[in-house]
Amino acid sequence: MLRELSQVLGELHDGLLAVQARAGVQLSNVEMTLPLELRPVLRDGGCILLADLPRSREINEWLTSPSKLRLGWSSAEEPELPRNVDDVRGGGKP
Amino acid sequence: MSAQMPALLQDSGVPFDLFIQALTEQLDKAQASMAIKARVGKMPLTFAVKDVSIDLRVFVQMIDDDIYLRPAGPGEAEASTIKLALTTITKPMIEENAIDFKAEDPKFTLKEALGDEISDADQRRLERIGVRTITQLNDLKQAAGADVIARLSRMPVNRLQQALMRAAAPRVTRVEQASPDESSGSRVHMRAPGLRAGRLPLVRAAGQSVPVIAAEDGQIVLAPLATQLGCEAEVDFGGGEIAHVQLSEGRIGHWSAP
Repeated sequence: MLRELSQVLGELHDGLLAVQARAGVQLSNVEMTLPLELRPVLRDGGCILLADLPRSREINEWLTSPSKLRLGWSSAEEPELPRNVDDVRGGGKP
Repeated sequence: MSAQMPALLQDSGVPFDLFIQALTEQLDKAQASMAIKARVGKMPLTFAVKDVSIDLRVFVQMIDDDIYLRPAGPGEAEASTIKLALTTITKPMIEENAIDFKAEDPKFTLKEALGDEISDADQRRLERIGVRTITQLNDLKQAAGADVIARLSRMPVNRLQQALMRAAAPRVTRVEQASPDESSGSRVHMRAPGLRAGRLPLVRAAGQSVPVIAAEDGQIVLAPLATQLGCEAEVDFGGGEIAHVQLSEGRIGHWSAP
């Protein structure tokens, strides 16, 4: 079921916060490259962008080459004490 | 698989500009939601989306000079790829390009000023091209013309003409009451986009003419008698263009039927 793209971004953000909380680190830059299913729908007199990550990572005859979303996240504030993790790259190959 | 296709997605897709707009709306919504989470959860906003790029697998069509995009579905291997990259807009960039909302009284927003004559859908169409007040609508009409506004906003020309006509009616922006010692009289400031250059409008209220002490650049200043304040005034711009407006602050006039 596709959701609004903002919801997907919100969950990715939650995931990053959870990584920080669990690992006790301050991430400064994160880059993600993710496969994306995307569908603009006309609703309430406007256009809403629905999206989600594909349920399957398999490339097959049905989804030969999905759209890709590249996100660059950066810290809004400089961390007071630099930690040992500066750069996390996630997602990668669809 | 067709069950997954939203019913309202057109076969030809959606216009490219609508797609971009939908994308930026989603990004704005995500940023706002992250800021709220940070505030409510009292945690520092440690992450914000800095750069976004999307490789879109879509089918591209040209319909009536507009580009339409339809995302590729399962089994559609021959789609084109469009790469979109959006980056952060800095605060100085926003300030440089932002509309000065304070300059316009909230009473003169499109909805307040045009009332039932503009539908929610038409209002959204105008807002999408940056027109939120009747002053902006009038300014854009002067700078670009009604045809350009209709084309950009995708608003039907007849409905736009009606809205422009209504928006050009005079409106009272400010009323200065007479000083208690009567050393200076009342002043009524009106904005009147229908004002013709070099032509002084004739204004009458309560059966008497109202002195016009300034009329230029779409602004009129009247010096009414105390008994005329609050009365409906007739403003004759010449050429058969006559409007009526109540001489009270925030009142919006209307044109007389020809």
